[in-house]
Amino acid sequence: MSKLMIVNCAADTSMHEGVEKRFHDSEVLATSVKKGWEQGSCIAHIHAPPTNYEAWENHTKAIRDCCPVMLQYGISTQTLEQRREVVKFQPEMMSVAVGAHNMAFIQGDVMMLHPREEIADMMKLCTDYNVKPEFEVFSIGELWMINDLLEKDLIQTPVLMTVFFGRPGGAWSPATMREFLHRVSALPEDSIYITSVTGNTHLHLETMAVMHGGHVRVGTEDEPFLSSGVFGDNPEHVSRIANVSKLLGREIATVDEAKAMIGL
Amino acid sequence: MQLESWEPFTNAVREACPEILIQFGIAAMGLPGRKKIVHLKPDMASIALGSHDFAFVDADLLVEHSRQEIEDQVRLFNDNGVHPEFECFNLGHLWNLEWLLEKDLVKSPVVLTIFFGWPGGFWSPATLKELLHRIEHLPDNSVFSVSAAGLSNVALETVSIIQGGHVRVGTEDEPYYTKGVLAEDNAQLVSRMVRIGKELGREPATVEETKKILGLN
Repeated sequence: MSKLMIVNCAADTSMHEGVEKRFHDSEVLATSVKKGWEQGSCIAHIHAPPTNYEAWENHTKAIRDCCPVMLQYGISTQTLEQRREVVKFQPEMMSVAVGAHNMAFIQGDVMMLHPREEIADMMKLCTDYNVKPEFEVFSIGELWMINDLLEKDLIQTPVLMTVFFGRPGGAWSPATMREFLHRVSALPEDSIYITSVTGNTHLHLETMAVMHGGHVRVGTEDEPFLSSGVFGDNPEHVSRIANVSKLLGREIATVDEAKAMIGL
Repeated sequence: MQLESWEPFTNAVREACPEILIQFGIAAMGLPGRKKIVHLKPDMASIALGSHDFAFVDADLLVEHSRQEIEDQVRLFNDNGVHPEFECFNLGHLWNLEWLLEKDLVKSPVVLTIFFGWPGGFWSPATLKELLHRIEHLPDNSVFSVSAAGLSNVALETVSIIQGGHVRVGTEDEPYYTKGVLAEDNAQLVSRMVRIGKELGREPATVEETKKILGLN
């Protein structure tokens, strides 16, 4: 088990009612990201409107100017062409969906298919720009797709993935300990997984990830409440899981340590 | 398969075997196609509870299924006396099913086929661990059949029998009887399951008994 725990902070947007969306203003976003970094996060999972490439560039610059976190572009619903436009701003990572999107968000359902040819093209783009793909794993079926990419030599190990729990829609899975252990036991050996949970059991599953050698993603995008009815902003979510991790004997990875672990 | 083929196929089956329940395997078919063949009155027809994401031998098959579409399909079947057979490839599909149940669109019992080992983004391991995990999450009022691709299908079907589930076998799902040996025909695959069921104390249901179990008219 890795002694260090990586904290990814999904700080900027939210699928929850009444939670501030920050991706329309680079300074607001960068300030929020920096506060998370000060508490221990080393990755910022960020968004901008898909075709507003200037916003992607401005977000990236604003964050780079204020803290050294790695950037993970949350662009799993973006097309190849849209990705080409933003990859040049050189994020460390980009999100790649390896299964169909089937989400019931508050602003509407998000449905999207992801053919293997398209995924293969995205892998080539990642290789060309030295960007690490971050695979989104909502169910065990997505591991078949990752294995397919490994067999075709389209990706390098360690495989980096985010394992999701409790997101509403056809990509749902129960946010339970049982489901966590079931999913995690099916992951390829040489993988780094980051756990992202929606729902009031999120701290339980995040703690399981700490104990099980996994890593954690927290933030207002995933689950804004610290406990029932108690809203928490990003620094509070990051610092809480960082404290839990330290208590359980895992120190928090710095940006440089996390880069070495992920293979950047 | 072309839409015009459904009528002669249905007639041929009805003539050869008038009592057997017919389940149209049309999970990937859109609403317009369904409207054209629903008058043939199959006893059941398939509805996918999530987008198709398959890697079949000839080509990948990707088809989106929005909640609106699923709802429309259910309504069409309800209006025409066709019992929906819901396809469940992973736990996420149960979220969509729960949504249908909350809207009161689906009558009890819910008829489900739970799939294992089908290649593609829909895959799940054809293991007993995965089977038990899935079964635990099914709604209380569901009647499930297990369909598994791969040679572990016999083990999964057997556990389904033990767990109170039902089985789906046939050359579509897994054509090999044992390693390297193709099944002679479907009858051979069916009869093995019947023997196992009987040994384990569960008799195969007759058509009439099946209608009662599935809540068919």
